[in-house]
Amino acid sequence: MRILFTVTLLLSAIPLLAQPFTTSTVEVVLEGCGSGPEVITVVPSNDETRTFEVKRIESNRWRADRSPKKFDARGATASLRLGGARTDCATSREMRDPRNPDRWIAVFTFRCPTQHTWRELTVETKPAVKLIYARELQGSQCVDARLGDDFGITTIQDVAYERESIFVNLGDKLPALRTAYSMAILRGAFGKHALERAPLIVKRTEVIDDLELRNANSGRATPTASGNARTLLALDLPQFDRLTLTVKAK
Amino acid sequence: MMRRLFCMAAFLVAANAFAQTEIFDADDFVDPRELAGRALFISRASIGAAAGYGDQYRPLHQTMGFLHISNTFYWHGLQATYKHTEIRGSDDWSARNQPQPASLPSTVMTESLSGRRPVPQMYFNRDHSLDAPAPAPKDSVQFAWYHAFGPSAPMLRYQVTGGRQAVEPVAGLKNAEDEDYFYRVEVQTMIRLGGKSIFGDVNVSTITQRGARTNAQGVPLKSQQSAYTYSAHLPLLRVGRAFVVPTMTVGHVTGGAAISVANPSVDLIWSRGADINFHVTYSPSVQNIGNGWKTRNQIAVFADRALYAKLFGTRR
Repeated sequence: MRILFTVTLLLSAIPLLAQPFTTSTVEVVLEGCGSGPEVITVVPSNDETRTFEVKRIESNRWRADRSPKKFDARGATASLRLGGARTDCATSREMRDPRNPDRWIAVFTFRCPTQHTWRELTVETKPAVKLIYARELQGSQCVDARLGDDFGITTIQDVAYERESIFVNLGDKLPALRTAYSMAILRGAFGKHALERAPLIVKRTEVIDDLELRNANSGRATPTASGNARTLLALDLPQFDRLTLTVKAK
Repeated sequence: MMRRLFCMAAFLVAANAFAQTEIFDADDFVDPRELAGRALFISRASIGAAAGYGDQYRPLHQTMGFLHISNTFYWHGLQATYKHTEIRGSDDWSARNQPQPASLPSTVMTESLSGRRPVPQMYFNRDHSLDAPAPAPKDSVQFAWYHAFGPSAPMLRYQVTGGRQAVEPVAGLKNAEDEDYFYRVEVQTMIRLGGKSIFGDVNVSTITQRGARTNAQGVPLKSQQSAYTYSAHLPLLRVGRAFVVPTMTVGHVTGGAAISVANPSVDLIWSRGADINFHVTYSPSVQNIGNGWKTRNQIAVFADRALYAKLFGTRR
């Protein structure tokens, strides 16, 4: 009986121990950037479709109230788009709200980024096809993804081209990173590099070639250039003429 | 685990087969994970010509042209294929020279004399006449099973092939019996070596020529060639717009004279659009029959194209 009582007590205590620090307020600390911009774009939980803005409250602090959207102030992830720079992702910690000690704030702390960045990378498909992309900074644990724009032109903000890879799937299935069934549009894919100022044009055949080569050498199966596997790739890819990648650096 | 080991062992020992697959028979591996729950049917044709062609290590001694059609159905990690090949050479089989008597094993000579009737040519690896049957249509069926030991583990294919080729008809014998039968078992393997994945095929195959002939005691005769080979698939390379597919095969052929073989192959593939692939394949076959190594250079130029392709079901 005593054991049963102890177990019941422990079980009832678990929800208290795991109580989330629910909040709707986000505070961003950016170290080493000086005063920084008035407004910063935050990408929460690896999802570039749910970005929101925080406004400066001190020289290196920005804040936004996302009420009524509530989340756990401990352990959320986010990265920043600074309009010409981007950060790696950071994990939030909880802090008592100085304005109301009964409430919590999620605080994200970032180091000022130093890598070179394109302000915009535009991916255009002719004719317009659905596109989804995922972007990953070298050595990062976070991957940010977004479904492209319906009209065939997708703009990716603040691309740190020296450290960042962008994987594109034509269609609406999220590209799986480090596997072959997605198209890497940076880091010398197709024997070209989007660092050039002229638009990078990739034809449909080149996309199929790239997928075929990476499928074959992925280590997931025998490296073969199977005609039937290539035909399957072509059936799976939407019909399009070419992709035009344009870098708009400012 | 025991069941898996048993299946692997059964594949390895169940057949006496090999075969150097035809130089124009492009690979048809499709990872079932890319199908994502769907079924796929593809009909594909290859057309071209080859010089120095060796039909399962038996040289043809002539340039030949071919039309090869494969029909493949992929479903839930299974693959079924029917292939038909039309081969035409410069040497019609009716004009083919008989092998020199000095090169024939004594058993064949005895059989010829005692039978006192027409005997079909036996094209197996006799010491100096490892000749293939003259060009003729071939048919084969293949069944394959794909398996990965885990969701992200390498996908391997286990395949059995059975086929036949008509051989030179001999007066006095029924045509249905003038056939070359071949069986092949291919087991794909993956070995980790120095942190890299080395993919390969273990091939065991047999070619059997059956006839209505009997020996002096009335026992039906048949001749058989078996081959045991390993082919390593090296990573694909890109050269401009083309791919280079290198493989390296080594093995041993028995049945008559024993032959050691080394058979590297380089297939240069240039794809036009999604469906048409142009191939230039160079595959020197280096063989040692016991009196030194000899090289036969095989070169094929051909194009393959999907004639019809259809996906069934929706992607999961």
